[in-house]
Amino acid sequence: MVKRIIPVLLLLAAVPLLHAENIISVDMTLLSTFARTREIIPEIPGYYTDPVLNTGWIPAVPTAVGDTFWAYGIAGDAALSFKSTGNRNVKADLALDFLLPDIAGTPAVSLKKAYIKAKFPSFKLTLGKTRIGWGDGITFNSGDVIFGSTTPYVNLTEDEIRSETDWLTSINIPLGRFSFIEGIVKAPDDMNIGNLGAGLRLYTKLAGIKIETGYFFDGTDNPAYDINHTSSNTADDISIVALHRPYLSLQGNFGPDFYLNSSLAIPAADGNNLEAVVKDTFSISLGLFHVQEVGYDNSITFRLESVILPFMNWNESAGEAGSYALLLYPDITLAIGQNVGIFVKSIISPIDLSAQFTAGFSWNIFEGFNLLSYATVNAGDGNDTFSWNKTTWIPGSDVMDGIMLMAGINYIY
Amino acid sequence: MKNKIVMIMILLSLLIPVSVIALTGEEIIRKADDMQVFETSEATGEMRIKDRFGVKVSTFISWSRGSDESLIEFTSKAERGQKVLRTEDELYLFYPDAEELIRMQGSMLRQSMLGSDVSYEDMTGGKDRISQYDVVLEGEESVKGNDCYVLMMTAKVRTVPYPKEKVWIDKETFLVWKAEYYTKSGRLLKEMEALEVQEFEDRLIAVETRISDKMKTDTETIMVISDLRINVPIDDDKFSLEELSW
Repeated sequence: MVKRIIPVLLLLAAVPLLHAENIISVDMTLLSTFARTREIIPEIPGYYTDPVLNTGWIPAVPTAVGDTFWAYGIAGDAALSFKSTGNRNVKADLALDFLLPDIAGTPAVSLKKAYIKAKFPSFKLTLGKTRIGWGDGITFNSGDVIFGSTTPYVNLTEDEIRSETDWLTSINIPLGRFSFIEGIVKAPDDMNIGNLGAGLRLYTKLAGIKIETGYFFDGTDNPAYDINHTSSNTADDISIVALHRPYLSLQGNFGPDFYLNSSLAIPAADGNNLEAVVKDTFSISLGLFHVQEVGYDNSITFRLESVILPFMNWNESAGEAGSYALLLYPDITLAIGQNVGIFVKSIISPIDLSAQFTAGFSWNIFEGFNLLSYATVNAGDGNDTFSWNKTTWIPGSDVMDGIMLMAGINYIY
Repeated sequence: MKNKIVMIMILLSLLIPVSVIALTGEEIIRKADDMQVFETSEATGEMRIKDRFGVKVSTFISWSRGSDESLIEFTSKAERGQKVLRTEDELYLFYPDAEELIRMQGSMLRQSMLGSDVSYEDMTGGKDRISQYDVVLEGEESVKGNDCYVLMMTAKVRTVPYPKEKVWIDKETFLVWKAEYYTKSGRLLKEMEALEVQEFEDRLIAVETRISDKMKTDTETIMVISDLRINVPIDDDKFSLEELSW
């Protein structure tokens, strides 16, 4: 961990020496958190009862999950960003994320962004760790074939629900004022060239509809990418080492704004059960958005997103959590005046009748300073997509069992 | 002789002050709108939103071409790098942290821009106030020593932000010195006044305006243009997705 941070610290030290206009900003969120959680009984190693006589081996006791209890801790994150704008044709950003010690006990510092962009007369080049947004959708976006945006397990208290970054190189070539093509190469985590990602997209507009289409070669088959593994048989997943992922994304307006995305995965190698993989990964996401003025100076926004995997399980008995054919994301936000926002967001799994609801409140009091509070509640049975009492608990990953309350501040300076 | 009379009549007509020629309400609004449009412009400025907790400042730089195209880049810390590209019939947003292009249509355009009194819809081009409002010339008044037309505009469509607007437009420069915004029943919601004006290319432009919310106490928005350059050369690709996402 320390070795990983040293290059970052060296870069930070060099930043003030660079001959450019450097902008340093901090975006910090601190939240007092009360959560109903589970007791973790740590692993007890095996031992002999009598070291002299070597008699009576007591076997090891693995980590176990105990009773539920209420926990309290400070959760949050902080992003420290250094932006350089000294040359109008070159931009750079270096951003660190500090995940504060939370009730899961996992404090961490990570490099969120480190990139340089250069604008040439006929194209733009980006190199480094950053995000590229393909397709449309706040929570569910089948067009996001690079990072994947179809899993139901997201943090609805975040401003940006999908914000993963990765090391990549991209070239963006304009085709007129409102069209472009973009090529991307994503570096593999393990430096193995066979595991890289690469793709191309076209972004244009036709008859009032934004049309975006492209293809991404995914050399890693990241199992966290899709809602499901590519098959209910885990052994099949491991045998698939690479996937082709084409996608199509449309956006327009027919009263409410809409966006429609679709993608699928095709195994790169023969013998990987093409039909099963395509059926398991074919997904369609649809989003609708509308704003309605309410009284004087207030507005209410409605957003409904859904992701559909038509060949997955449409009834509860046939499936298991995370393998159902339909998920919904409704979001209703009331803006009161210019500074106060109240929202209710939810991820709903209609097939197993479970859901996670998050209600939130934000108040922008001073410049860059916001008061925040959130309440998250799960509804569902023990083995549903969301549940009040989880029957399976993953230490270090699961934090909340049923309900979590948060209150705190966000400050950007 | 007949030709001489015609010539004299033409010369006399040229000597008659413009204000004497009776302009209709629609013509006055059209002239006021035209005075705000330049071939190209580049401006830097700030928006100060004051309430009982203090002042919040958003700074920006903007470029425009004609009445239909503009690009705004926010430079204050909380919004740095966010951009808004306006074309004749639509609007694009760019959020640098998410590296995301968002195309706005329909009701999304009604959202407030950075919590200000300005909506994205206010920024969209092709606005034809004459087709949206019935305009009645109510009379003349003096505002800060300037003779003004007083016009009442009543909305003909429901998509405008305010059902009624009363505006005071300078009879000589066609600058809007003051405006009041009302509900349909006639309740005063907001008031705008020009605090400072400057002359650019023989036109008066309000470089500092105040919008006060009459439904709240101790709140106002001050819009300041600190630097304005008119008819500067601007590249064609300034108003493109390439520039927006840069």
